[in-house]
Amino acid sequence: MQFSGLFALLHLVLFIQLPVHKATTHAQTAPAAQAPQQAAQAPMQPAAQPSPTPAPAVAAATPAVAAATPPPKDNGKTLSGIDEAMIWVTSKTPRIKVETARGVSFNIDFATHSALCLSHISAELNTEPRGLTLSFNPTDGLLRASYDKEAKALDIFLRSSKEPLCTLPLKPSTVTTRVLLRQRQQLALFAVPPDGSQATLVWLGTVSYVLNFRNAGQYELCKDLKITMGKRDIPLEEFRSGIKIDALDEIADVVVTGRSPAGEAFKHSYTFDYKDVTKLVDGAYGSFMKAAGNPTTDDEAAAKQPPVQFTQ
Amino acid sequence: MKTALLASLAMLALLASAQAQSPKTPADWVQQLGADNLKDRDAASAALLSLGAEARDAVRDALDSKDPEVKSRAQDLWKNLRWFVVPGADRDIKLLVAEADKGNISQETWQAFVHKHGAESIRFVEEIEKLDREESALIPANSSELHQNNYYPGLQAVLDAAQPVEVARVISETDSPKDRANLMSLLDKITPANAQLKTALNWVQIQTALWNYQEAYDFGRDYSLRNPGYEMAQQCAIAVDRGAMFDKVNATAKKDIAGETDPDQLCAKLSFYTGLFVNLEKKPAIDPLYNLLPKDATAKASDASLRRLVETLLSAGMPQRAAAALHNVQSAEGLYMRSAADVQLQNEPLADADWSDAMTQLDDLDDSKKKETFYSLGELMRDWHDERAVVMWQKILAIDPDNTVYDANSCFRMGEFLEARRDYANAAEFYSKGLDIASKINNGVMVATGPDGRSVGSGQQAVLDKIRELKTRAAREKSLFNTPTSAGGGQ
Repeated sequence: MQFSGLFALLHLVLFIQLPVHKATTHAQTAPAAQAPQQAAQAPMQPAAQPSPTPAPAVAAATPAVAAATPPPKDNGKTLSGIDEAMIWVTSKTPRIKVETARGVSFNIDFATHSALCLSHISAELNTEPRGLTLSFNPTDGLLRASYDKEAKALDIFLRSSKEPLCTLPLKPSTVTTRVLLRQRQQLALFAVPPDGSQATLVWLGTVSYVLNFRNAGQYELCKDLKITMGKRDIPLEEFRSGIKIDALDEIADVVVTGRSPAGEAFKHSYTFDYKDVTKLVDGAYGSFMKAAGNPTTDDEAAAKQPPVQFTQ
Repeated sequence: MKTALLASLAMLALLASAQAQSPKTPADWVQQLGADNLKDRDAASAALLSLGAEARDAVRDALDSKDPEVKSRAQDLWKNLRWFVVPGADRDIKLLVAEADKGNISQETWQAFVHKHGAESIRFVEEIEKLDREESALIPANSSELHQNNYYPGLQAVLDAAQPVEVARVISETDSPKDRANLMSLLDKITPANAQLKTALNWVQIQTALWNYQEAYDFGRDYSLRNPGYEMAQQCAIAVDRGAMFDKVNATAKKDIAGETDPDQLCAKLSFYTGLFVNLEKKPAIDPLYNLLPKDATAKASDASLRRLVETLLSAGMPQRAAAALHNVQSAEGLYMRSAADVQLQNEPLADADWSDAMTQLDDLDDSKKKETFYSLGELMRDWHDERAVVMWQKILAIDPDNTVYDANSCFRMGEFLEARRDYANAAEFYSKGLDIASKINNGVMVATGPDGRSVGSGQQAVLDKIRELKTRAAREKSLFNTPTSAGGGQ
């Protein structure tokens, strides 16, 4: 078999609630002609709080995120990448920004936004080894999903196989349950009707990721800069604007070497733990869905409680 | 063989000819300063002077020449050429030097120069400062040399108008360690005590860009303890974050708070560290600071100090702390601030009671103090976007006499308020009345300030312009309102 030796691991998103403090749309800054009204319907818009209390000072400030870290050595320091970088989930033509308090934010198009808002549960399909994209495309993709009424689970198959690669427990609900399966850059939204008769692929999309280092500006005046992420050389301009990756499994330690503005050699290492990164991103997806009105409170809740019915 | 030899000779002749025709370098001209012929020496001086910035380094090297003639002429030339340190700015520098010869270079001239030539302008400022530092003792009082205090407004202009990171880049890219040290020590002429906000913020940004995080933080902290405002805490947070200094700063903050006995300074410190830790997203580190305070530590603080602390706490979403800091206030301002904290705590009855107490306090005041106190509270309420400030201004205008500075200012505030409500005609009337009152007050100075708090010229003219603008708007609105439309004219 072409794919023997591969096995897919499936794990459910834990709905860790990240406080969402800001939801902006491109429509707010873009010319009117490019700003359809849906843009204003970001699900996580904080409710306006009428308050006669003063609104001075720090609250309006741009937050500086907490410092990471072990104490610095003379010319070298190792920092936790997850504390130093913001991960942006992005679409090719983003229109809506949803910023979470820390860690992960979204800059996505309307379709992806809608899909996330409609989802009741999200799960990530990881492969080992990493870096393999298994398409959900119904015409020529390798993956398909099917609901097993007896087992009360959503099974994911290699297209020609009869044995599921993995199984997502999903109890039937009184309304249609929508499951967002993520596999590397792919997002596949499946709908399972109350009778559990089928799992229909209703939307297939892709996202990519951008790692924004909040202190990238500190290297502005450095000389002989060399920036790498794993084996990949990163130009300073890309480091400044955000390192683009297709999928989270491309994340590797980022090392910046060079000479400081005072001419001293330095080495800064930003370390990333893949498990921590995926946990953070999983939490952000869950938080997004929950803030969009999804009543689920944990990974099994969707199956236990009837989710809200959304009209497509 | 013969042909080849002829060709080589021809090439050599061409080369010699080309060398003879090539223009002289600054070094060539410097060498010619010591020529036997006076005419040649004068020509070299004139040529070097006309080369300007291009000849500067060569002439500087010649200042130590062993040839007395070369050295003497180089010293003469250096008086002019030393200023040409900004690329492409020779002509403007000549004008600035000429202006300095007549007196001091004005702030406006400096700003225009910096706007045109950017961060590199700091090199010219440094040259002026260097002259002051190295040669001031040699300059007679009546000399036409640049006056010694010309550098400071220039330095302010650089810090105000040039991009901080570009100033840092100029310093960072200065090859000579001595010149770099000179530029750094020039920055040290700005201190937290003498800097305005923008200057101070840019100073901190420059040091941060140069990775001098401790210097940036120390300056910012000192500035913050002298001046209210949250911007500096943000800048300090960046320095602390990039310099991985949080643990050290946190430990110092605890000592700083525990050892402070002056209630006003204590409020300033608490406000600074609260803002700093909020910006660093280290909110859990804030409570331990407040836990160090003895009971009623801020009880004797002035209203202004308390206001600063309360603003920071309310903005940080810590109304409980704000209410605690205000728990035994007696003044109207203090009671008002506490009512604001009560509102954030969603304790409406307490908020109403505090507001009511504040009003009672005001009504019980002597008439002589009423206007001042109403105005002070009105300004606080205005800054906190509380529309009830209008009540304060109306009360001031209702109290006799009606010709005080508070009446004039209340009129201007009413004008501002009504303009925001698009009541242009009445706004214009209030501005006119305010202007009328102000013009009758002896020794009064009317100041108009821009959004950054800096003066924007004649206050009287600004008010007159405003009245004219408001009347035009009022007339336009009136004409629009009175113009019947074809569709709706009959309805």
